[in-house]
Amino acid sequence: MAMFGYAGQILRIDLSTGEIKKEALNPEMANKFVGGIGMSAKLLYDAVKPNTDALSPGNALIASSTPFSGTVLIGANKTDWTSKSPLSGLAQTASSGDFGTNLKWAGYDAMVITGKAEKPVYITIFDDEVRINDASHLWGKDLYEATDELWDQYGDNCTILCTGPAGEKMARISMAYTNKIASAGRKGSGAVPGSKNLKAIVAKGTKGLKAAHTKELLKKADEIYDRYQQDPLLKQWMQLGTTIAIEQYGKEGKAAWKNWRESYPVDKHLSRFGVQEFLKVREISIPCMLCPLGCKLLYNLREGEFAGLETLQSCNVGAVLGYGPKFDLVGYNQVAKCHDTANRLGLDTVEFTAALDFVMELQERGTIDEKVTDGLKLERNLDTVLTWLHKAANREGFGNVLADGYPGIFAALGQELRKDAIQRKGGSPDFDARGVFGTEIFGIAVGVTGAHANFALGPTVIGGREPAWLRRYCQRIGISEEELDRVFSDPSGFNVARLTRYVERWNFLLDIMGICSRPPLARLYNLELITELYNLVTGVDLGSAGLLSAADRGLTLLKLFDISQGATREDDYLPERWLTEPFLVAGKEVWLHDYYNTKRLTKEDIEILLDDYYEERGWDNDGVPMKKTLTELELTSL
Amino acid sequence: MIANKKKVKREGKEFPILVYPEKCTGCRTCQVRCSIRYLGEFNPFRSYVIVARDHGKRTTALDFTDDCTWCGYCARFCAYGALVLKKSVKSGKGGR
Ligand code: SF4
Ligand code: SF4
Ligand code: SF4
Repeated sequence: MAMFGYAGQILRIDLSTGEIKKEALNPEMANKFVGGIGMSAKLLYDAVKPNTDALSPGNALIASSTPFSGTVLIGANKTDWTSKSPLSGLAQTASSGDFGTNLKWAGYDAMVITGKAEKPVYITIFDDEVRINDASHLWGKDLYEATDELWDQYGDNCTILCTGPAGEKMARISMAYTNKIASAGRKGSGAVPGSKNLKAIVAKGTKGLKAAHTKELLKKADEIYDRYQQDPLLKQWMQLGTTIAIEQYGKEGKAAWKNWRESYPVDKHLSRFGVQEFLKVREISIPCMLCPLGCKLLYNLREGEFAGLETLQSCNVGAVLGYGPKFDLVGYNQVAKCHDTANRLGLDTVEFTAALDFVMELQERGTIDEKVTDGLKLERNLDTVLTWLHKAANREGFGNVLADGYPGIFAALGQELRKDAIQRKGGSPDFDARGVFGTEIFGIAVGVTGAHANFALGPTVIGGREPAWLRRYCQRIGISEEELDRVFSDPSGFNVARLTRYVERWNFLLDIMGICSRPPLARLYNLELITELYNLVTGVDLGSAGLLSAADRGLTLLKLFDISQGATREDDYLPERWLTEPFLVAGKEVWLHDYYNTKRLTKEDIEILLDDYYEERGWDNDGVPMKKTLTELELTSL
Repeated sequence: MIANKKKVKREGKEFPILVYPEKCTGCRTCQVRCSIRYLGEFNPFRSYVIVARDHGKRTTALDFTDDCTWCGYCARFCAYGALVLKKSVKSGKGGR
């Protein structure tokens, strides 16, 4: 049966046997899991057995497209990448890049790669023609070189996922990238293909796609585009991308250094990493396919250190905060050099810089000496960063430890260091909790994908928002009155744990539809509109309730996956030092507080919030989804 | 250059789009818009505007096939100023 909005097939490739299977997409599965991360959750749960080693052939590399991808709905074109994470041991997902669009135009809604090839290979997907090819000429090459070589061979309309040398060596902090720019996820997305002897996947689809109600869909798409063009910050977003927040981060003391102990001096931050400095190196936008915003960009170092270097940048604010303040770099030229080096090697900037920063603190306070770090003193400067990027990617000396991030450090230097590192399940968070405690912080403790709590990112990322304002936001994302009463009956203003549960549901739904989280795009969509668009694209009316259920179903299934891999309540926590140490902002102590600063939070408070969160989700006190919840979500057959 | 080619072929009519290939990001929005309008499907490979990206040189060549009707629809959705409707320039709207 032809399905609108879907390509109608799932592609399965077993690299151990070389078998390539094209399976018809079951309409019932499409209705239940919809697409993107929802579909990936189901494919992951079915493909990866309990307690599987993430670097073994039993792990799966999954890419899912979404019903909206490849249409004219702006900002709704992302691909979900999912696996078991080699870093955290939990599910890892990323809504990133446009691989899925070419995959879908080629005739597949999702792709599941399992097994391990005997020798290095790469996969090509050109419509019906799917091949496993010898990659011996690409193995060992840096990520940019290998991608360019494949573009030269297959033409520039292909989308290419590629892993770098660090991924080949199965570094747990490695990353794979789509088209050299969009990461396939934190927590070891490069090591999963690496462990399968898979260097790259090239996809191009020429089959196109049809919608159920084209005329009405175009009308809606035009309305959305008109609204998009009215965004007062549009010009700024197009020029700056995520750099739009860089000065504010510095001023609010959110740029941390010295292993999350203090904020970077504001004057240095602004003079080195401010907007004017950024504009000197910004060349052009490099958008994901079909995106009008183009937050990704090309750096061009026109003068100064490393002049002539051109490199791609996906999330500028992340790269700057990763390298700049932490290692006291003197400006964008040095950040660009570090970023370029990491991308070529296929290392994750956030996890690498977090791990190196932590080891520096261990050396500064005398826990380890220079002998441990190959006789080198770890100083906060460019040379140190570049040296250790190479050593980590090559697993050379102590670089072999760094290559596996926090888990590598704990294994080599002692498990008791766990409590000293700002981490959950081996992964680094994106924000410090001691500034503003909103859903994005609580999400670090409970996120089904570990510390990088992308589903919990919500309006509370900005401090001081009035409860009435938050309530209005909540209505837009489909929280019922009854649920709202539970969220807002808390004496502190609102219950962050209960709110997290609903913010996660919303972001999960955006991921299911492939909607980009950048504010000018994400805020174009609300629940009612998504429901209507889904109907116009697919011809199927799941209703708002059906779509919200699909989001809950997918997230719960990822939780069941985590549990199948050994996760328990003990794995849901915040980094201990956030609860026991202050963060110094311009010499002033800032302690962990609730959102409205009514009281300091203790470990006991976090435990109570955990209970609330589980209750709001219908999970028991150990964080296990209850039978009743599974029945409601039609997950009992699993 | 492109506009000239069309002018020769379609006397009396003016090609409605100003083309600045150096501004093209290769996002393919124009192609998907054209293909849905004329072929009822989202498919850049069947569109009447051709976007030929060269990742290595980081340039894009833009061209229009013989089937292009000169309707200008695709240009309305180019967010990067590579396709600009002539009339929007005259009215002071486009030409970012
Ligand atoms: S806003 Fe940025 S990340 Fe989002 S789709 Fe566009 S280019 Fe990609
Ligand atoms: S011409 Fe405009 S819409 Fe078309 S690919 Fe280039 S930037 Fe995108
Ligand atoms: S001008 Fe009209 S027909 Fe020609 S490429 Fe653009 S949308 Fe297609």
